Amino acid sequence: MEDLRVYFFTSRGISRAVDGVSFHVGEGETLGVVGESGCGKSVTALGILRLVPAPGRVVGGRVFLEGEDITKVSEAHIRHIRGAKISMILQDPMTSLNPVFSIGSQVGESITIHQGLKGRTLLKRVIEMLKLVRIPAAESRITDYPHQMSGGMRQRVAGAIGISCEPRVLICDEPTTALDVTIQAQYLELLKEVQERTGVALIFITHDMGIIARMCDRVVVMYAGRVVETGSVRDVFLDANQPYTISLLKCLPRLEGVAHLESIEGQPPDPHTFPPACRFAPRCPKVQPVCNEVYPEMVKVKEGHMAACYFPGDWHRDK
Amino acid sequence: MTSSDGVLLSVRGLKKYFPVVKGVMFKHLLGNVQAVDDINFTVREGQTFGLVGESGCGKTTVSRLILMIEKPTEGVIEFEGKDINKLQGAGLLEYRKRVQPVFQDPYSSLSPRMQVWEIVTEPVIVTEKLNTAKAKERAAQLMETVGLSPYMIDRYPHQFSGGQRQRVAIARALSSNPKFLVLDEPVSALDVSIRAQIMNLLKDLQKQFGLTLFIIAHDLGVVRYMSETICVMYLGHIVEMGPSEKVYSKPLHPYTQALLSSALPYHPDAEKKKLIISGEIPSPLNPPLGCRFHTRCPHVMPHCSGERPVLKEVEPEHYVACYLY
Repeated sequence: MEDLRVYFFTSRGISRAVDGVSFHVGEGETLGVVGESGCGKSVTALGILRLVPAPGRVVGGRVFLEGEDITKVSEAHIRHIRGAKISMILQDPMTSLNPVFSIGSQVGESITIHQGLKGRTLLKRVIEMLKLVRIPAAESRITDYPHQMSGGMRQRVAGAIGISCEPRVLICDEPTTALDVTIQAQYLELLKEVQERTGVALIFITHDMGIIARMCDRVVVMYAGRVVETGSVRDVFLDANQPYTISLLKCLPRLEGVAHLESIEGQPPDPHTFPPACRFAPRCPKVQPVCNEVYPEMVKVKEGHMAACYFPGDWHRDK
Repeated sequence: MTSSDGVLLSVRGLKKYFPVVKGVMFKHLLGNVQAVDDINFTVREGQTFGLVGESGCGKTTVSRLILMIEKPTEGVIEFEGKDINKLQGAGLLEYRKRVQPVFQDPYSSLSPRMQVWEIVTEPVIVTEKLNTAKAKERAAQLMETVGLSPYMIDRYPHQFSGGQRQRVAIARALSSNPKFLVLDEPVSALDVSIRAQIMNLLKDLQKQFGLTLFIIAHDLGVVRYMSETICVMYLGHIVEMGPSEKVYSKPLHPYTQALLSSALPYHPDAEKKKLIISGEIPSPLNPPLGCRFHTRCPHVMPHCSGERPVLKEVEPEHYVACYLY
């Protein structure tokens, strides 16, 4: 994905929700996209699938899937890609499943559309999918409706729908936010297992640093519609170079307990009035005059580790 | 202050059952959701008491009972030595002033049609009969206390961000000079960077005003950071209670162990703890007999499904309800 831009044209002006985001994900790899609410991470996901709701529009950038630019293909063609090659698990299993269809028919829907399976073969395939996501007694539960299942089970069904056509890329938008911690841990294990078995590339969109640390190979940190740092999870967590990432990691309440948490003062900027300069500058503890002039380009910290800052790392080492 | 050991709030044998009724014309009782089933704890003055558990474990019901939004089915809640459900008249008004809530979602807990000064001073407009000028003055002071500009008092809630709204909610809680704040998931609706701000604000205010805090959260890190005493609930029962360092460093109950092992550490090299819990939370309508955790417990023994284990003091101040100890 290169330089994706999604703008919302509202009565208050143009809201630049996603403003030039680039990243890539390889086969069998897990990429984490992390950031606070309003930073554009969910809109990025919708942008990839070309599902941005009006008044939003993808205004620039290209998304390549196996070498094909899917921002250019026809609407009919992208419908073949959605669900079959790229699919998505949404945050809330209470609302993402249709309450008036049985889970069997919901899982089967995209299999019928993309692979043309019907009757017995379809039934067999649906049961197989439900077993893959560890739904106990899958044979008898396919006639159940979503309200008969618990939150964790529903999210598994959503997962089964996501992987039903063996996509190459699975986008998980806050897949466990609605789940309890013990259920969340089970679900994350399950996704890893599915990935090992199918080789699907996972894109995890979350605000939870714990999920990133546990699940992902690489991470993209977003702030106010732009990528501020990217690299392997180890590099970013242990040697963060961009002040936002550094502060974000410091303000997490840890289980081991700390005497005092550092906090980031101020609020994220309004997407209608993003400054042309570094968007974190107003809250940055290490701000310099140049930060308020031009947006910093991504600079290479080391192989595969980039940060958008004029003074990468400085502050971290001072501490 | 009544008791010499500084106990501000004490809860004894507290039960809350919600009846589940089926039918419109011919109503019949299906059973009771045992949201809170016979729990005991005490909160000392100036302390921060943290209550953790997964959704449906009854932690919010406990807070609603303390706030007198619900009446207990059985049991006693004593504040400064008096049973709150027997308070009347001036005594009740005083209790309402002393105990104030802060709710989870600052988007729905603030009325969108009221200006901030009205929201903030609402608790005292009733009790102290302030006029508009006085109330505005008071609101401005309170806004400053919680780190907001006093010039914002004429604004409406939609003009504030989530973190600012939660500050407004805290200002409202502080307006009647309370002693005891009941915070139900005070930071879970907020972003990570704002969370730390609010938690630090609460800690500062506690020092400044000598508040006692009762915090409910599902985020173990948040409870660890905020509280001295922590109490773990599972399906309406207290399974473990003790000083937070002890509970976190040496969890005794298998459920607490499972809960802590499910939490994800913020470190890429952290050893991946083995999952020691499977299955889902049983329905509180028909909870398992005996120890309610026995259906998911890795150390389950035959008598776990018999009698309910009682809270036992295993170490000083560290209580656990489990037959392993």
